[in-house]
Formats: sequence, C-alpha cells, structure tokens
Amino acid sequence: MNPLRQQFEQRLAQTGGTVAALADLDSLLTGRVFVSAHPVCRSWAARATCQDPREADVALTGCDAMIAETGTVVVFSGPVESRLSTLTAPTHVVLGSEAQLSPDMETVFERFADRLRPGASPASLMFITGPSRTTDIEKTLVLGVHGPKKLVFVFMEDGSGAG
Amino acid sequence: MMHTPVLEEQRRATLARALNLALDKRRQSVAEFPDWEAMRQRAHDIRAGALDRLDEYLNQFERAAAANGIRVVRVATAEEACLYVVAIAKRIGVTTAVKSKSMVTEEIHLNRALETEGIRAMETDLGEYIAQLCGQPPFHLTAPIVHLSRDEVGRILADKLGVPFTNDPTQLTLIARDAMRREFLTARLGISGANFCVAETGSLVLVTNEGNGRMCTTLPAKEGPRVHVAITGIEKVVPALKDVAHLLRLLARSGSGMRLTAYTTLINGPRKRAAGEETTGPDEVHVLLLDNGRRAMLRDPHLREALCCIRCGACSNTCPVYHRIGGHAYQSVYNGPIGSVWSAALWDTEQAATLPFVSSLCGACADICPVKIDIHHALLWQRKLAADRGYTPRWQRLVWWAWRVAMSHPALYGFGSIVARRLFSPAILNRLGKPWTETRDLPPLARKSFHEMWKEEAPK
Ligand code: SF4
Repeated sequence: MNPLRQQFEQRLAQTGGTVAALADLDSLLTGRVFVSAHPVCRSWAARATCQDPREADVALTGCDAMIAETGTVVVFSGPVESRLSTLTAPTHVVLGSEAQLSPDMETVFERFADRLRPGASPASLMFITGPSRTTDIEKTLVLGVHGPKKLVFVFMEDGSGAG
Repeated sequence: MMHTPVLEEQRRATLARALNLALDKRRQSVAEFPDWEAMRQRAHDIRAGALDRLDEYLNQFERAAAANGIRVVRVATAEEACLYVVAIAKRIGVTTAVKSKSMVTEEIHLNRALETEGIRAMETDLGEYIAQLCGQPPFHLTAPIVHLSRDEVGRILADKLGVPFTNDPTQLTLIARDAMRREFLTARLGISGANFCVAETGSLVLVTNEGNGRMCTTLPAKEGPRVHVAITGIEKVVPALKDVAHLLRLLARSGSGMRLTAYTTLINGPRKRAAGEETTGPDEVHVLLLDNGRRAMLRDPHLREALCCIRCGACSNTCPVYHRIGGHAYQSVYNGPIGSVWSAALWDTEQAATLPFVSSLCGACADICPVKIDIHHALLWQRKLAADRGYTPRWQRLVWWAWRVAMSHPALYGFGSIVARRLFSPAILNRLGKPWTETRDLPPLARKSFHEMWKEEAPK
C-alpha cells in the first residue's frame, strides 16, 4: 500500500475516525442524507434525501487534501463545500483519492500557495482531524459534541494497488 | 501578601489524575520526534522573531486581512474592545452572542460588559458552558472544569437546565450539546479569540476540539445579518503559513498529547457573496487587535519572551505548585506559571503583582514549554518588580535589609552569628518555623561557625 496512505489511515484511526471501503459506502448513507456538490460525490447525488446539512443525519462530501502526519482531512469552503456540510451532521463521510495525500501541513500550504494569496483565498480552510471530541468531564473522551460523532473516510482507489 | 488555599484532598486527587494523564500523553506524542528540542528552538525563534518585527507584521496582516474582506481594528484597552463589540451587537440587534473559548475575552471581561447592555454571551466550549452555568471562572487554560467530578457536573445540569440527573459523561455531553445547538441555529453574533494571525495571508487560525469554534465563526442562522468578531492580542501575529504549521505541530502535542487539535480552521474572511460562491458563513468578520499592556511587556527585556506563549497549558500541567493549589487559587484570569507572569505584567494590583511568589522557581515550566519561554526567570524578575513597588510585606523587607547590612559588614555578621547561636535553641527555632515545623524539626544551629572551625583547624 502507498506508505502515505498507510500512515494516514493509521493516524486517522487513532483520532477516532474510521476508514471504509468504497464498496461499503452505500450502506453508510442511511437516514436523512446530504450530498455535497463536489464532483467526486456525483455518483451518489441521487442518494440525497435532504438539501440542508443542518438537518442531515449523514453528510457526504469531498475534500481538497489529506495530511498523513496527523490523519487530517482538509476542506476549503467555496461553491462545492460549505462551512456547514462538514460540521452539523452526526456522521460525516469524506471521499478522496490517494493523489490528494500530503505528508504534512507545510506541503499542503505549498501545494495551494497560489490559492492562498490575500484576496484570492477560500474564506475558510478546515483541517479536520477525527470526530468532534471533548474530555472536559473527568477526562472521559466523548465524541460528537458540536461536530460529527462519526468521521468516515473513503478512498476512491482500493488500497491493494502498487504504490 | 496573598495566602493561597490548598485544594481539599478529593479535588486535588481528581486534578492530579487529569494533569498527569495529559503529561503522559504529551510524553508519548513528543517521543515521535527525536529532534523535539530543535523543534522547540525553532518554535521559539518563530515567535521571538515575530515580536522583534511586530509592527511590520501587524501592518502586513492588516493589509492582507483587509484584502480578504476582514475589518481589522486596533484597540488599546479592555474598555475600547468591549465598547466595539457592544456597538456591533446593538447595530445588528441581537440579545444573545455565542462565544468560543477565548482567554482574551476573559481578560477584558467582555461577558460582563455585554451583560450590562442586556446581551447574553453564551460560552459554547463544553467545559466553559458548564463553568458559566455554575458561575465559576475557568480552572485551567485548556480544561476549564478539570476540578469538577461527573456527579457535580450532573447536578449542575440537572439544576440549571431542569433535566433528570445523570452522571454519565456521554449523556451529559449530549444534553449540553442539544441545548447549545438550539442557540447556534439562531445566533447571529459569534465571538472568538484567535490562536494565530498570519501576516502573509491575512488569516485567523482558530483551534477547537469540539467544533464550537467553527459554529461560532460560521453562524448557521438562516436569516438576518451575521457577524463574527475575533478578539486577540497583538502578540499573536506570525509571519507565514509555514510557521503556523510548525507551531500547530507543537501546540496540541504539548497540551493534550494529540497530534493536531480536531478542528483547526483558517478563517480568511466573510462569506463570499458572488453568485454561487458560498452559502454559509458570516456577512462580516471583524478582528480586534488588543494591546492592553502588551506593548509594555514588549519593552521589558525580561518579560518580552512571555509574549511568545501559545497557550498550550503544559506549564500548568507540570507545575508542582499548580498541582497543589489548582487554578482558582491564583484568583486571576491567567493562572499557572505563565499566567502569573501575564497577570503581574498586565495588572498593577497587589493580588496580581505578588503572584510570581506563588512558585517554587523549580523551572519545570521552562523545561516543558514548547516555545522555550524562560518562565521562572521572568517570575524571579517580577518578584523584584513587586518589591520595588512596595507590594512585599514590611517584615520581609526588614529581613532583607538586615541581611544586606550584615552581609556587607563581616564584623557585624560574626557578632550576629555568635548571638544567634546563643539565642536560638531548637525549641525556639521550631516555634518560629511553624507551621512548617509541625511535622518536622529544624536542624539545630551548629555550635561553631565555619569561621571559627577554620581558625582552629586549618593547616598553618
Ligand atoms: S508558557 Fe509555554 S508551556 Fe505555558 S502555556 Fe505558554 S506555551 Fe504552553
């Protein structure tokens, strides 16, 4: 397996997130489903049963990058992904492909340097590392405070390919 | 001088468990980097370098943020900052504001200022929300209710929200979440701090684990003007995005042992309004850059470094004094080792100015600090400042005066030591040393001074 992918999957799992196979994506889309306008989600657009991420049980979105060092999903706000599509639904399913992997945050900034100039940058860059979490009460970990309780990442490629 | 109460046994145990857990997780996560020391040095250099050219970077940030559609305002004092926020609330006609955890807003007592104008500021970090419900200030920089047991939290929620009692952290979190979600869906004024301001891109960086920071800055309400106000200190500016990446690598690891805080958000401006551009996000973003005593710190070479702090909380976690007395004993917004430095630097009151004495000067804080602030030497320096300003008790000044006179007059010293050895029997010493001597004896004074022994025994 692609070593970056391996590190990403392992570290995402350590944050409480999960990785699912593309074949299992269908079974994740239950309840009120919101599907973002990201091109990568197009094949599942028909599964949408809800237009407003505020009311969704599950939100399916794309992403702009992934970071292997920290198991992080990076999403830019704009016409396809909103600041809400990755935030309000209890389950957030993210689709991405191996080519979007970066070793660390520095590399992501370098990669998108063009888009990050003042006046031209997306209004919000979201670095999402696992589900929403708190340890405020007696240091007990509880997931899903204000953001999703479940974060599921799905690679477009199956992981067995040479990398 | 102030007397700090020691925490009761039960609470101290809860606190110690939580602090030690954070320290353990930090140790594991730091071990991933064999060059951690070099990384700390680099982090220090980034922060110190930014302070060296502070005005240049602030100007650059201001220009870049303006290009992104953010309004940047410099405010000199707490009052000015509060007035600005109150004016916005009135202009857009809100009576509720949602707040993401921010020490600066605690520093300027923004909630109080809003309340006097009839505006309720709701804290939305779970810990802060609960602390606010029971009317307590935050206990720890990153863990505001670390001192409360689950039973206590259960009783607070049952009491204030009228829900059935439970002490299950998951249930409790869910109850609080639902109460806050209702507010989020209609809130139109969001207030936050900022962890960093990036000069290169005009971005605000905000980290939260729960996602409340994102809620407060996204403002999901469907109607009416929505405004996000970020209030932060002028010292938070860093030159470039690559610096942010490095500092973030150290921030969460040092505080909680996580590799990265769950939600790290770069905010570059309000919702883009061009057709088809963006559907959610505030209509306006304002950034208040607060001085409130920071420039004075910048001018003092002994205190300047304290401005490098990235508020990870590690120095409190490791501090032996903090372990014993807890956060509330400091009676200040900023507590723990670095909090003492900040409090004494920002506020000229006896309470704040004498906080640097609440330390053993062991230096554990400086050892753990990810940006290598020499915290204990700053505290030592501030003890001198406190003494110069007359904040130390008279008896103490008298003792030091006598010490100085004796030490600079050998004859007087010799005479004094003879008298002292005659006068202070072990019984008297132990009486003077109370309460320390209640469980131990002071060693008796030597019969002969070193001087006398030397005279008798030194080889001729
Ligand atoms: S002084 Fe250092 S250790 Fe303490 S909170 Fe600030 S950055 Fe963290």
